[in-house]
Amino acid sequence: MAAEATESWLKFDFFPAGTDLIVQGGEARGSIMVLKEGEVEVLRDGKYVSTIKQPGAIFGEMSVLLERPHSATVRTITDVQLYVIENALTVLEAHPSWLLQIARLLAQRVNTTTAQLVALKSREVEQDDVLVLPTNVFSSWGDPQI
Amino acid sequence: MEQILVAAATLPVHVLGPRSVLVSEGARTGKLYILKSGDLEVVRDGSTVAAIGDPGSVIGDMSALLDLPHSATVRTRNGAEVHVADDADAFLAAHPAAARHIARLLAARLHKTTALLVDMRRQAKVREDQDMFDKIFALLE
Repeated sequence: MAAEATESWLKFDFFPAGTDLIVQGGEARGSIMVLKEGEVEVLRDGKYVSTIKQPGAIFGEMSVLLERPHSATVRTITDVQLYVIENALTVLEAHPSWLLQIARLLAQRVNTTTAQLVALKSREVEQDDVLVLPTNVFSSWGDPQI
Repeated sequence: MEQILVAAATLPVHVLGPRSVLVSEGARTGKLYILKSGDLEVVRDGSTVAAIGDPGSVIGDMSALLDLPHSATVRTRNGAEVHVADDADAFLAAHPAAARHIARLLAARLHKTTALLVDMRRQAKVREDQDMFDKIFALLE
């Protein structure tokens, strides 16, 4: 796990398979990780959510932006090489194009999750079944996503 | 909110009268709008789904960032003053505080949608399990 300094805010790091890079509920330390090589899995409440293996994929950005504990665990499933951007908010503000990239990425994810929610919701309607979710949930977000 | 208003102060202001359309559902403008004053409503498929009245509210972010058509119509109620960035990317690149504000908004939105999704999937799973038990018990009877 020898960290190699390239710029003061950027570290290159290596983790063996089975390492928790981020722990759900853990305090954010203000850093964002960028995957260089390898595969990680995302777990929420101990359950598998997804696998990430695309170089350049980022994690940790949600808790950095929202200044709240991590909402999921990220665990390496192979040996992983990554970059760690420390003091990410300050670094991003000095590189607005990266910030814009992250905003775009978040917007894409919002779009995907919203589509999945709508699909789940319409399946419920088809099944004419009662699930405990307020009927006005989509319109009540007060954040209309235009 | 305040930081985005500081950045938005560099942008031109459009003044809209009552019941004026700011963006139309289905249109692709690439513009970003920031409410300066007044009140707006969001109309989707003919029904009002939300009201926007807080100065600094951002409109058009999803559409501008993803180069997608607007997913709803936004119009004024009594009238509004709105800052308009014709080139959203250029505006955000020049104003990191505004970009951070929007990234934060998106992260908060993603946090909500993901939490809901996890919750709905969990409920769907419980229901599937219940269905399976019901079937097994039906076979046993």
